[in-house]
Amino acid sequence: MKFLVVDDSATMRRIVINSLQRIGYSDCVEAADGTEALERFDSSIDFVITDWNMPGMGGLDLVKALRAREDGRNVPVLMVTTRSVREDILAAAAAGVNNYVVKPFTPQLLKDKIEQILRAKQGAA
Amino acid sequence: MAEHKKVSEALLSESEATLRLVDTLLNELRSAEEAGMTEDGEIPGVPEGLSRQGSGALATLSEVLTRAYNEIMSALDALKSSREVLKQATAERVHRTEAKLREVSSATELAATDMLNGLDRALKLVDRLDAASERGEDSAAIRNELREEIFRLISCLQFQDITSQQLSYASSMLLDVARRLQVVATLFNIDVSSTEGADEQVEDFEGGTFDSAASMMNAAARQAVADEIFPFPAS
Repeated sequence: MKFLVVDDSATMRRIVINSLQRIGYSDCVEAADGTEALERFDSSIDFVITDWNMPGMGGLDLVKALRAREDGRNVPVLMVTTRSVREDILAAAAAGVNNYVVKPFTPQLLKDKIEQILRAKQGAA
Repeated sequence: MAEHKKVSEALLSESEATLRLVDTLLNELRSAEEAGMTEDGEIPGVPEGLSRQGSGALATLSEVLTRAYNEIMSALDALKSSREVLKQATAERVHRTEAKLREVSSATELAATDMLNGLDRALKLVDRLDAASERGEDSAAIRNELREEIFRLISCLQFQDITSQQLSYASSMLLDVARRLQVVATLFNIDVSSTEGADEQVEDFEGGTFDSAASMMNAAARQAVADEIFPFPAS
């Protein structure tokens, strides 16, 4: 399974990728903002983990752009962000985010959310 | 800062007193004009030279002074309101900046404490590994525990992203104060070249590169809000 990890913080990208490797997902592609993520996104990407606040194109716009693409319509997206206001989370849900993790997160929480999304996807298939 | 405030308040009060004096003199001139000139052509209470120019010139002078008085008073009003705007803008924003910097300080302390605790636990696990090795026991479980501990330590480094956003917010507040001060300074023809570019930087910050509410605190409670909206069953 190939992950696209999008965050403007290189530290956060490393932490997320480290967490993914820890749970057995070692195939990861990185991007520092939404624009770069769209450039790197293709049909080989199975899962997107994105931050919200980034320079240029942010995470919310990235999700909207992905959902507008044929190859991005059904890709699972996990938003990992510091934003925790209810309205923001609802906006993320409306944009098509599959689940939401508030920073700082525990590795276990990230693992649980990824597995929940994958289970739901398998159930829907 | 307090010294500057005292000086500016003294100047303001002195200017007001001067203007009141001008106002009083103008009223006196008007009274003299209404009372008319004396038989020898002098106006009572008005200096001889001024009086000789006649009542027409006096009326013109009176109009000019009245206009000047009104302009100075409106300038003073503008100064007063500028002072209020400045007071409000700087006090509130500096307070918010200070609060955010305190949050950064507590976030770094919290992260440092977490990491120190994790390192303590890791060191104890290394001791246990040594002991197990001396006894020739299998240490796979301890090694796994050690890996988990190191992994938790890596996660503690999330504080860097969060404090970075908190500092960006504090910077944006300071740049906003600089921008407001720049507007007021321009009124006084003060060189503000050193604050040029503040507008662009504030716009950059407003572009959404940080979350002004980013915090290390209450992560579980904040996650619970997200879990209400994305109600997946727990694994």
